[in-house]
Amino acid sequence: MGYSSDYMPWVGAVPEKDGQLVIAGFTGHGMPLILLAAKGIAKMLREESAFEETGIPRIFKPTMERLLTKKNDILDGLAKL
Amino acid sequence: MYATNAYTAGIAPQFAHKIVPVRGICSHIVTPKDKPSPLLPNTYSIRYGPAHYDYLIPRPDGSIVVGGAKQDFWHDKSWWYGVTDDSKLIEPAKHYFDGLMQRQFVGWDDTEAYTENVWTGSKKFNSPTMG
Repeated sequence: MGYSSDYMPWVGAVPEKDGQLVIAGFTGHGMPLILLAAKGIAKMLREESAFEETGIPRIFKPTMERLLTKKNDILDGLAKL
Repeated sequence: MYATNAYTAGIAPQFAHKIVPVRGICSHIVTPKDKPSPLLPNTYSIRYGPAHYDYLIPRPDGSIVVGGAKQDFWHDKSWWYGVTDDSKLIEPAKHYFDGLMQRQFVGWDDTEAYTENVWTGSKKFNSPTMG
């Protein structure tokens, strides 16, 4: 599975990489999310829609903040055991 | 467009430790043909503690698909964190599912339920922050 370090998928434009999109990191929960996530990202690709016009939940948006944070919830969960 | 899930960091390195390959383990439990299994009408999440649970899906034929087993290996990252080798089982967990139905559910003691198959595969990780 592709686990996301903040448990949220990455669905949208790759930050600071013009022309690149990503739909990945579903943390073992792809089944309930993939159909509409893919529909949203396809709209971005085909219609050049902004992320905000796709209906994709805001928390899935790839951002530099998400990329730069050192926080890793996967490993933090480990520490709690 | 990167639709590469676990493998994304392999081609877009900024995603290293952001999108991480994680290996899981899952099983198929059956009963002998002459021993029908009790009806389980729901899917189940058997929770043992924070971040530890098995997820169970009864099949139409009465057999059980159940995965998880994190108690047996989650403490050791080398078995699952960043692991892309799906050809190998998570060794410490491979017998975890043996007798699970008899242990966890009432009415399975006489079914002779046994683990017919174990594989490396997808599992549900129920993030507490997202449904």
